This record gives sequence, C-alpha cells and structure tokens, in this order.
Amino acid sequence: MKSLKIVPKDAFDSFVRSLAEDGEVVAPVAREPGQYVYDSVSDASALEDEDYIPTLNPPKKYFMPAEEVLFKFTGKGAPTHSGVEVETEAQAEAEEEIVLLGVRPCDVAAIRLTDQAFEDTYEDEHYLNRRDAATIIAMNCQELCDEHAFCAAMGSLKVEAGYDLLLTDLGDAWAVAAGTEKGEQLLQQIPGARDADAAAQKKLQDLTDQQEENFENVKDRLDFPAEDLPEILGEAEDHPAWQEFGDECMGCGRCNLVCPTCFCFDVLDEVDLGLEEGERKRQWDGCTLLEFAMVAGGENFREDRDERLRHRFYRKAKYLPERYDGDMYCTGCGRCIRTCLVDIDPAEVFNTVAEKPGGEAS
Amino acid sequence: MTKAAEQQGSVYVPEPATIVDKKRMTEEETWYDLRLDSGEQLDHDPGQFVEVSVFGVGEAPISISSPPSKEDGFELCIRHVGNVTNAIKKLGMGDKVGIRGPFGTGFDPDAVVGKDILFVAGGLGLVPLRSLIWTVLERREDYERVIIFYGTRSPATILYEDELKQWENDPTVEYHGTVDMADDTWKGNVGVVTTLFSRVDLDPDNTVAFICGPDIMFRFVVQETEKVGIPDDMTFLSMERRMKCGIGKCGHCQEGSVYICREGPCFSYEQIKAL
Amino acid sequence: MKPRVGIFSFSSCEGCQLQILNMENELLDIVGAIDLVTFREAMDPVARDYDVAFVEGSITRESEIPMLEEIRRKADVLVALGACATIGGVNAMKNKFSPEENLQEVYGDAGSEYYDTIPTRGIDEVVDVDYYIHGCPIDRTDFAQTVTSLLLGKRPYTPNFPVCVECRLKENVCVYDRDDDEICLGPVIRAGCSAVCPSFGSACIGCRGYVDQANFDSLIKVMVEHGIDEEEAKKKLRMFNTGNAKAQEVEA
Repeated sequence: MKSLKIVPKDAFDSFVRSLAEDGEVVAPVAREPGQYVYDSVSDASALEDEDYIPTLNPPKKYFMPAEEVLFKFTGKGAPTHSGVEVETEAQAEAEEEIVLLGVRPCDVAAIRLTDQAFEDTYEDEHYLNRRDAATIIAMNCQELCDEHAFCAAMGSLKVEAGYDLLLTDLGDAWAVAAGTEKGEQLLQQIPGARDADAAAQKKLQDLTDQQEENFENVKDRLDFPAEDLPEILGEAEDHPAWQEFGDECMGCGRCNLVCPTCFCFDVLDEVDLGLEEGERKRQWDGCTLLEFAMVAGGENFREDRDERLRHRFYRKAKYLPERYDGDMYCTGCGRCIRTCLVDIDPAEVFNTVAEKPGGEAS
Repeated sequence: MTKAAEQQGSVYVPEPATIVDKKRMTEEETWYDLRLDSGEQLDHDPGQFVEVSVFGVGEAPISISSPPSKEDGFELCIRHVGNVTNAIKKLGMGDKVGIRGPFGTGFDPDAVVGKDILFVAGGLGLVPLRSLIWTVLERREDYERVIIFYGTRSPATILYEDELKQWENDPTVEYHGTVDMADDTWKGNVGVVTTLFSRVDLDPDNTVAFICGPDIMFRFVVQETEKVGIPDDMTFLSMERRMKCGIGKCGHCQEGSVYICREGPCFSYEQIKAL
Repeated sequence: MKPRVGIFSFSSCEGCQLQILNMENELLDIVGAIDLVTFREAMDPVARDYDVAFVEGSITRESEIPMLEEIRRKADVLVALGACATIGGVNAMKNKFSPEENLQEVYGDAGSEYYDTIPTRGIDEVVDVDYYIHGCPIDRTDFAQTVTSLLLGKRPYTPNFPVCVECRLKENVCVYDRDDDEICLGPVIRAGCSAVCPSFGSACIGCRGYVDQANFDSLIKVMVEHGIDEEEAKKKLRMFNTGNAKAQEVEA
C-alpha cells in the first residue's frame, strides 16, 4: 500500500528549504512572464505560481543534457596518425543527487517513456546514472495550464508511476502520495505530515471529480481515443495533408528539441589544437532536420520536409507505441505547438489525417 | 557490450583493436584484418556490423565480412566515402582503431538447413554476404544447391576477386558474375544482376534468397525472386541506414517500429514489407 | 610536416583576420601546429607557396579575380573565411544597384576615373572552395575546429541546421516570444554561432547564410505576422545574402 500523508504548506516549505540546503532542488520558475524554465530554487514557492505553463525545455535536460561528453581520449600525436595509442576514459560516473520539484504529470509520463528507451537492452549509463540520482516530486494539475496542452487526450493527465512523491493541492495543505520506496522514505522525513483523515480523503475525491470535469473538453482535442493512433496512422501514410503540413514546416527542429519524449542525439568528436586530447560528445538532434537520416555517402533516406515531419508524428504515435506496448510517445504537453512558428499542432495533424481526404472519417 | 565499455561503464566506449593486415581491393575499397587488443573474439553472426572509431574523427558502421569461424580477429572491407572511412584509409598495419559491437541482427544459417541457397550481391553488398557464404560453404553438406549472383558496376569494382575464382571453380557452387559496364578485359556477362536469374532454374519451394546491395537493386531483385515464387519469408535482405549509436538509442536509423541497427540490418522481405 | 598556411584578404573589413589574432589562448597552439607563411594582419607577406589558404573578403573588383585564381592554383585546400567570402556578405547589398550607381554614390562624379567595381560575389562563384567558415565575423572556436580538422585530415564540421536549434539547446526565450519587436532570421540561417545574437538580446540577422532547404515562404509569413511588411521581410533576408546563390528563392 502506498502511503498518503497530509502536509501543511508551511511545513512542506520548510521541508523543501532543508532539501535545498543539502543539495540541488530545481523547479519551474518564470524567466520572463510566461516563459518558464527548470532552475534552482530554495523553497516551495514555485508550486504556487498560478501562471505556470510547461517549461521551455522539459526536465529531460537533467538526465540527458543538451550536450554531454560520452568519453574522453588521449593519444600522443594526432589520433588519426600512425603509431598512436589512444586511451579512453568514460564520463558516465554517478551523478550528484538532485530533486525535481513540481514536475507536472505530462512530464512525469515523459520521463517514464525516456527511461524505457534508455533501459531498452543496452543500458545507457549516462542517462540512467543521472536518473537514479534524481528524486521526482510531482504535482497534480487541477486546471489546464496552457491553451496548447492536450494532456487529457493523450492519457497523461493522471500518472500512476514515475514519481517518488506526488502532490495534490488541498488549499492550505498538500496531499503527498508516495510512488516509490525512495518516496516512502522521504515521506517519513517530512515534519508535520499526518495521515489523511476522512475529511482529507473526501476533499481529494472532490478534487479528482472536479479535475475530471475541468479537463472534459481537453479530451475532445482528439476526435478519437489516442490508442487508435497507430492504426489510424497505418492507413494515413499517403494522405495529401502531409504535403500541406510539410509545405508550412520550416524543418527547423524546434518541435523535436523541446519535446519531452524526443531523445535522439548526434555524436561528434572534438580534439584540441595540440591533437593530444579529445572527447566524443553527444548533442540533441531532431528527425525534422535535413541531415538526420543522411548516410556518409550522401544518400538521404528522408530528404523532404513532409517526409521528415510525417516521420516525427509516426514515431510519436505509431513506431514507438508499437515498440513499447502501446505507450504513446506524445504526452500532449503542447510545447511543440507553442514553439512552432507556423502553428503545426499534433492534435490537429492527427485529426486531419484520420479523415479520408474529402472529409469522411476513415 | 565490448570489454572496454564494460570496464568503463559506458556502452559508448570502443575497445582498442589493431590493424594486422590490409589490402587495397579497388579504387574505393580496402580490406582490413583486425584483432581486438583484449585478445577476445568478436563472436558475431554473419550479417552483423561493428562501429569503427577513429578517435578525433568519429565512428562508422561497417559490416563484418569474415565468417564467425575465423580464428583470430575479424575482417572488414571498407569503402572510403566519409570522414571516418577516409581517415581509416590513412592507417597502416599496427595502427589502432576503436571497435564497438558486434551489433544488430544477422542472418541465421541454422534456420535454412536443407535449402537451396541463393545469394544475390550488388557491389559492396558482397561484404556482409561473404560472412554468410563462407559459413554455408564450411558446412556445405547441410545445404542443397549454393548459387551466387554477384554484380558490380565494372570489372574494376569487383571485390574479393580471388575468392570469386574459388567459387567459380568449386563444383558444389553455381557462381554467376556480371558487370553493368564491361571493358576490354571482361569476358563474362554484361548487365544488371537481375539478368542472371535467366541463367538458372530455381526451385521456388526449396530456395531461400539472401540479398544485399543498394536499395535500388533490392527493389528489382525482389521482383525476380517473387517471379520465381520464392516466399517473402524465405527472402532475406540487409538494409543500409544511418546507424550512429548501434544500440537503438540515437534514433537515426529508425524505419517503422524498428531500429535498423538493432532488429536489422538483416530482415526477411516479409518483415521489410511491414515496415 | 606542418602544413604551410596563408591567410589572404579581399574586399572586407578584415575583421575575420582580427578574430584569429584575438584568439589569445589558442594562438600559440595554432602557430605550433601550422606554419603560418602569409598573414597580412600580423606579418609582412613572405610566402610564395602554401598548402592551405584561408581567404576572407568578397570579390568586388575585376583585379581581384586573377589574384584569387592564383591562390587557388597554389593551395591544396582553400577555405572561405567569413561572410564576405562565403556568401558575399553585406558588401553584396550594392548589387541591388548598377556598378555606375555604386561608383557615383560612393566616389561622386570623378569615381569612375579612378576605380572600377563589379557586382559582389562570394569567392566560390569565382573559384572552387573546399571548406567554409561562416559568420560575420567568424567564430573563433569554429576557426580552431577547422584547423584541427584539417590537421586530422577530416572534413570540418559545418552545421546544416538552423540557429533555432542552438537557441533551443541553450533554452533561450525565442526572439518571437520576447516583448521587443525584433525580427529573427534564425529558422533559415545556418547555426554554428551558438546562437550568439539571440542569446544576448539581439536577433539573428543572417550572417552565416541560409541552410539548405530553407523555407522562405513560411518565414516571410511569420515575419509579416510579427508586424513588418513583405518587402521589409525580404530586405532582412537579403542583408547578408544578396550575393548568396540561393537569394533568388527569397524573391520567388
């Protein structure tokens, strides 16, 4: 049985303050009005920001930084020249502990999805070590945070797993649910935490009912249940709308880079001018970018913008779901819509290609 | 995971290997014989690949061309087309490269015992098939007919010429070669590789085809295998994509729900059709 | 053997050469790795032959053409250095007018007696160019990266994705989401500058040239939505790129 406790807000704030004294705590904070980023905080005030919308970049930056060194190498003389011995040194050591505070359910869902990809067969220690060192204190959403978000349609409004603690706002207190053993232990340490009495239970239930109501119209952003997407897309490969979306698309990669479930990367070698020390690093990449599927000989397997855009949507809602037990790799967080300068909206794209050209539903 | 990666706790760290022999095969391709410095064997399946590193330049996916039975080390045949493969060109015997792998899913010789085996290779496509051809020939009695079709652009671009002669002279192998464009020295067949299908009678009920070459060649060759009546699940291909990490993470080689570097590069035609 | 390297200059402010001189931390490593034989900004011209030529500046006078051709003949590797050399740069803005008008505007009535001028071109419209170091001015780490790549015998890394990518990697607030009225060319301009202008409160003005497959129609629409008219939008796209071979696509 997972524990549930009620913690007065001032007690929780003290708890966060003590966490921040012992280590790093990050939460969504406004860099400018309406522009949020995960950044260091010293208390729990970020949880009370009523203007919150999803952060510019998702919390994946803490597990898979935009750029990171995979390993370093040293070799006397140019490594490409004859007779050079090269030593390698991996850079995947255990990481500093970090607490992510106020992670919304859409991002909790996304973290579970990227965990799954990096755990798949070959464990990616770079990601997983950082992930192990992180504590996720999630926070339920009572109202839609942003016009672009369609989380409820993608099934990521409520999360059952992926967090250590999950907060629900009861007004003067937080309902704090543990999701993991780590969360259970943390919960024991919160001073002033008390068991949820009948009144609190009732209030939680009311909030859940209210949430259901508040998000009812968000579910309608998709004309069909999200789990139908793989099949719908299976029928829609030659839909003429792809060309139209592709004509609008700038192939700029912004949607990929801000996506909490995009984890593709490019790999680059860098060497110092003395040619003795270098590193191999990886950097976020995006499948809508021109050279993403280009091989060394110059052949590009997705040369046109519309093919690349279509690939992105298929990866989110067909390819990866087929690979991972039906899990949608779109959480409906809406970041891609907000960042897209030509307003390409996945929900709209999915609805459009689900219709047979001419208007009839397929 | 390679030994170096295991020791260092990262699937991205290559282990050192030494070039023990090399030979220029054509204008564009060089053959290499390599040993892992750890002394371990790669322990690969025919059709699998390794990621070859030249530190400071990068990594490139290269098919393993030697059969798993080769006792020390492994062989690669590298076409010099990109940064990494051009840097390898400058390396000589005794020089080091980094190796990760073997990666991907290869061809399974056990699954086709008792069959007539048809190999269709175009250009560099002979490289991954060579590993399987030798594996089949080593246990020749396990199979019925062995037929090899090999097509290249010109006589100058033919790979493994000595071995082709061996196969040509082997009474248990039906070898047929062709070139798209002949020169004065060429006495053999001229035309694309599909023209060779008219030279043999194939038994659609007992033939399994292994095809490797450029994408455009696939499309024409499978038309022929379909015409013969070889079932799609008895037709196997190896696909080329941008395989960067080799372990199904970086996303570049995704095609449908599979990563070519993981579930491929070898697939049955039935699987490819579903992608 | 260290490669013999020459740095040459045509019509430009020579600011890219200056960027190299400004590489205080790396300069000793650079001169240790290469044999610098010609570098006008820093030394008297001495060399008659060289393996690698870095060429800054655009071609705007007839007399520059044979000089550039001579450099190409001597150098095994020719690298275009900076926006003037790679795409014509701001110098090419004059191409919107006739050479006669250019001379009249700059030198007055007597101009044509003393000077000649031709439409500005990036150097690859005159000779073959092996590699490009983009930007106005060039980025110093890009120069260092190019030198190490040449020493390693690999093709220098030149991103073919837009500045937007680097802005997202740095988690910048998009110029179009800021409350100033800046217009940004980031979505169609080649990255490699670490999005330096948007990162410091300015906007991308296009000095690194267009990415391949740039979608000008869409960006012009975006610019118009953000308050400038289509002609103004095209002017912005042309500022550094009038001499860019892909500039016709902007007009189309």
